[in-house]
Parts: sequence; structure tokens; C-alpha cells
Amino acid sequence: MRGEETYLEERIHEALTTDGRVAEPELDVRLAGGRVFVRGTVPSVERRRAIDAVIRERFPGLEVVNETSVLPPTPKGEEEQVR
Amino acid sequence: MIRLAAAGDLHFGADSRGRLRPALASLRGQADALLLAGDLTQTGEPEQAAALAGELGTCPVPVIAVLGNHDYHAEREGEVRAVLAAAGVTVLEGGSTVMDVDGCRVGVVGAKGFGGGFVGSSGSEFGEPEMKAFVRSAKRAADRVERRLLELEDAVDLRIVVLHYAPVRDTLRGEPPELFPFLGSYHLGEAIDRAGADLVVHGHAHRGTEKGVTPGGVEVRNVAQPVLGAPYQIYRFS
Repeated sequence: MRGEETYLEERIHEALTTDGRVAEPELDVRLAGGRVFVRGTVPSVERRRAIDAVIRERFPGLEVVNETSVLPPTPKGEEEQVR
Repeated sequence: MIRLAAAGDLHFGADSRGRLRPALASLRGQADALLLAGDLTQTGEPEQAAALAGELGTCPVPVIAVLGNHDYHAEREGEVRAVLAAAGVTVLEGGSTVMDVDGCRVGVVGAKGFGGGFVGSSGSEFGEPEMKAFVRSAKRAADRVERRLLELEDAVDLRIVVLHYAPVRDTLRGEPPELFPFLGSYHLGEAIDRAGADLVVHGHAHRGTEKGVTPGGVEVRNVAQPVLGAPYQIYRFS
């Protein structure tokens, strides 16, 4: 099908949004050279691993490059004076 | 001096258990309250809210929250609200609460808000019923925020607004512009400018920017955890 890569990108994004193991619509999904790159911040290591699992299950054969990061659990210790 | 910690988009699930507790413990003596700007749970399941409530129940300062779109996904938002309330969290949806902090009265107005877009590229109450309902939802939320702020005008020293959706474009910088109508509404910003406020915090826009301001000069902060890169940020008022 013409334009298949474009639609595939959005189908992967949709899967990462609606699959309850991930449910992260805010992730950035890009296809390049037969690989899928996923970027963004997730709340846990388990959620990060689930991204790989969901893509591999639903889109077998695609190489996943999971570039997401896990939110640091510690506060920065800085305050902002608003007024 | 008032210090308010704020965060949004926790997306708490069973896999998050234990991750928030240390950060909450460090709020003791560092903040007077914790404001949560929605998307508290991964998909809005009461079990996820219970996992979060288990951690918030240990928070050494009062917690005031609004729900976000994630908290509505399972269509069990009433149960999510009840679970959090049972843990002592004040959950606002178009309502307000007042805290006394060392003799200073702090009023907090909270609402999820909704999308619709911003001046120059916003939706209107025109056409299909679905479109009208979409825009009306944002207008209704904005109207409630404005009314609560006006009620508090002479009753408190500080007025804070907690939203999930953004009231301005500023804090969406970094997000694809095509998404803006799904990330916030100018009706929220306009209502806040009419009524006045000292600070607005919101979440929802993970790729956005922390700092912004309404056209009327009210400071706005996007406190989505991915934007902060931390469990919360503390805002101080003298």
C-alpha cells in the first residue's frame, strides 16, 4: 500500500496509547530505515519495558529502538520565587 | 512565606508502587501543600488510584488534586475520586478549597478543563453536535473556574488555579502545533484573566515548557512530570 510507513507509524502510536500495559499517548513514535524509534518520559522501568513488548507483539519483525527515559524519583531541590 | 509543591501526569499504575513515597517524605518542612494537576493514574482504574492513594496517604502536607483525561479513560472517575478522597486528598472539579498557612489564607480553585485551541485557531460552537459539545465543555469548565476565583477574591490572600489542560499556548512550546486544540483552551486563560489569580499550574503537555504567562499577566506553570524532569517543583510566595 502506498504511504504505508506513515500509517504504520500512527498505528504503533495508537497501540502504545490504547494498550493498558503502556497507555502513554504522549510518546513520540518515528519510523526510519525499518526501525521504530520511541522517545519520551515514562514513570517506571516496567512501563519502559512494556513499550518493547507491545511493539514486538503487535508488529513482529520491526526493530524497536526504545529511547524513552524513566522519570528520576528524586526532587531537584530547587524552588522558584513566584512573587 | 507560602511554598506550594506541584506536579501533574503521574500516570500511576501498579508498576509505580513505592516510586513516589521518598519524594513525598522530603516535602516535610519544604512545602505547605502538594498540588496535583491531573493524570494521576495510568488508565483511570480504581486499583491504580488505590496504589497512588497508598503513597499520598503518607504525604506530610495536604494534597489537592484535579483529575486528567487518563483518569477518565476507564469511565470509573467517580471511584477514582472516592479512593483518593478516602486517603485524605481534596479532589476538585470546578470547586475550591481554602487553606490557612501561618495566618495566610490560600484559596485553590481546581478543574480538569478541556481542549478547544487558542486564539486564531480554536474551535467554535458550530456545526455538528459533537463539535458543539467539545467546545461547550471547555467553556463550562472555564466559567466554573472564573466563578470560583471571583468568590475567593476578597476571602483569601492568594488564589491558585490547578488545571489539567493548558490555559495558554506558552507552556505548550515544544509540542506539535497540530495538537494544541487537544491540549488546552483559551477560554480557561480568558476566564482566569477576568477573575485574576496568582498562579496557574497545569499538566497534560509532556513535551511542553514549564513557564508561561496569560495575556493578562498571570503566571502559568506546566508541571507535567516529564517537563519538570522531577517528581514535583516548589513555588514560593513571600
